[in-house]
Amino acid sequence: MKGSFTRSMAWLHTWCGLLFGWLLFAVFLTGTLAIFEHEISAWMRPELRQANTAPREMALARAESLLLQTAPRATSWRITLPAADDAEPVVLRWREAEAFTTRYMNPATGEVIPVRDTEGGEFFVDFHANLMAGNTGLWIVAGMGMAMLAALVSGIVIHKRIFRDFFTFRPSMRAQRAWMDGHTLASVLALPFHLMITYTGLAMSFTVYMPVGITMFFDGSAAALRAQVVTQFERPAAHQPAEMLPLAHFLAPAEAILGRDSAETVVVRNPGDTQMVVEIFRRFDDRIAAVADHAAFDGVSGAPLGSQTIWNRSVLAWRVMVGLHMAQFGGDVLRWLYFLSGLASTAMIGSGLILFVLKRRVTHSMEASRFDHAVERVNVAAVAGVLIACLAYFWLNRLLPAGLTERGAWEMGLLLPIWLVTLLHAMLRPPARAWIEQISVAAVLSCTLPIVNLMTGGLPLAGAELGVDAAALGCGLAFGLLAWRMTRRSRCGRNIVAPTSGPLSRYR
Amino acid sequence: MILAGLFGTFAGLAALCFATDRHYRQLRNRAPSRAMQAALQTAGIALLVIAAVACRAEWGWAMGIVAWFGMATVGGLVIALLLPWAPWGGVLLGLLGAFAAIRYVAATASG
Repeated sequence: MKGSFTRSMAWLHTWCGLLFGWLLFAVFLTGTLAIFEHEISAWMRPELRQANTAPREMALARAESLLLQTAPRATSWRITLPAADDAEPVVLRWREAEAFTTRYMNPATGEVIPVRDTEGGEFFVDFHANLMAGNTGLWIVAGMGMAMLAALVSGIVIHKRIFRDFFTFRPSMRAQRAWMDGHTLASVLALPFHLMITYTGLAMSFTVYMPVGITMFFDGSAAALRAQVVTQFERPAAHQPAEMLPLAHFLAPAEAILGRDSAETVVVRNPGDTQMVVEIFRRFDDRIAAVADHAAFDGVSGAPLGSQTIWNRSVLAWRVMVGLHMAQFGGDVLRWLYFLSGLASTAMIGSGLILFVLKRRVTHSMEASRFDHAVERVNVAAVAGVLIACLAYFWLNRLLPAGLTERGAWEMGLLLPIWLVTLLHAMLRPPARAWIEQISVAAVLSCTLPIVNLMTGGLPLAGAELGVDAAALGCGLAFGLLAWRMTRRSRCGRNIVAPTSGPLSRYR
Repeated sequence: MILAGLFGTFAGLAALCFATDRHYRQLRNRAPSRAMQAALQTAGIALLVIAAVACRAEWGWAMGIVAWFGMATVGGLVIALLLPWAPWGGVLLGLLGAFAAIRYVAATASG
């Protein structure tokens, strides 16, 4: 089997790609969607479109009075302000009796906007990072990331004509050639992205799977490491009420340190207490490193307590990798580039899975084993089924009644049954048909999403939603094209090969 | 500057693409002459450099490099997906892209 270096690399690429590719497809697809986390969240909470703009001082003052009414006893408040000219809500989050509550406030009126219960785009972030399974999931995804790196490097080794085939795509040739061209095209042209995103994804949570340093130097406490790196201005509450200064008062001195119009998040600890601290964090969408400069003030006297705008260099290097992975810098253009590159990664994994089946059909042409049949069916569910499940999340967001209890949990909870249905369908139908049918369903779900948005409270040409709708339509058309070509090919194929009827004949 | 980066990377990769035997044949059914090949390669690299300059002007070096790679990926995919169906469309778009990229950069440099 493993005669030479190249052959052993090919073996590694094939098997690593297949076994990890099933889950990697879902991880990369949700990761690609997670780039537009905020836009998807906005799309999924159409109620928030009522928000208008207001000067930031006024918005902050309104947030303060709302919090004083609703959560005067909270141990901390967190107020996230929209960027200077964005018509976005102010996000209020507070902690009371160890529980967190989130509300959205219209900055122009100071009233809470009632929203449907949904995780929004955060679902994709969570699934991408840890499969919604805490640290266990994080470990699994990290293992996937290692396998992805191995598949990438072994793929580079076995691809002998990287430069000669750089632009080569021949969709009209036989299936294996066409899919191979697509696979190498997506791999080679987006190779810097594949390597960067996989490596930084692994580097991001290194403290979880390489904990030795923290165990040795910080008694195993990640918080202790954090406290040494991020200057802390917390202090215990005195439980003595005091007259607090208006929060808007702190914006000017904070922005004198952090930069004009740069304050994004205001964190208030021990509100209304003599030990009250107001800490203001800078936005960091104008730099790659995901670190928020911050300045803290005494909430009662207004005296500055300190600030942090200089960071430990090794931490900065790490946070640059985190920032590179999360893509919140450089504006919409960069995020679209990330999104398209992410689609290329997803397409690379999907086409790789399909190629596994096609290649084995050539080398083991006489008969397909039970293993081959199983792989073919799992492939359909792992690629087309996951596409359908992700699209179903958007549909459920609009179709489930707004008043449903535990609505957010239903939105996510129904995805597994839906995916299982696609797996069942893939097991019952001949694979060639199952592919066409599921990709067609994905095409219809995707193309009609903008219409559903319009019919259930969305505005057609408004900012963030326009992007989500346009992406859905674009992907839907691509799925439609793919389904159409698959149909045409399977028709031609049936005429030329396979005299017998029934599912088995189509394996060849 | 964003558009200059997008057009520049696309046109640059299109030029490099048509400098190869295989893809030049898709246009003219013969291999490119030495001079043609050298000209296309020079133009391609020059356009990629122009795009990098444009990205730096828009984002600074650190983010600009990230953007340049992203644009090169997307530009490369566009030209590769265009070739099987409309190779001359690739030429036309490449020329338009080169013109637009140079114009944007020149306009910024002079004003």
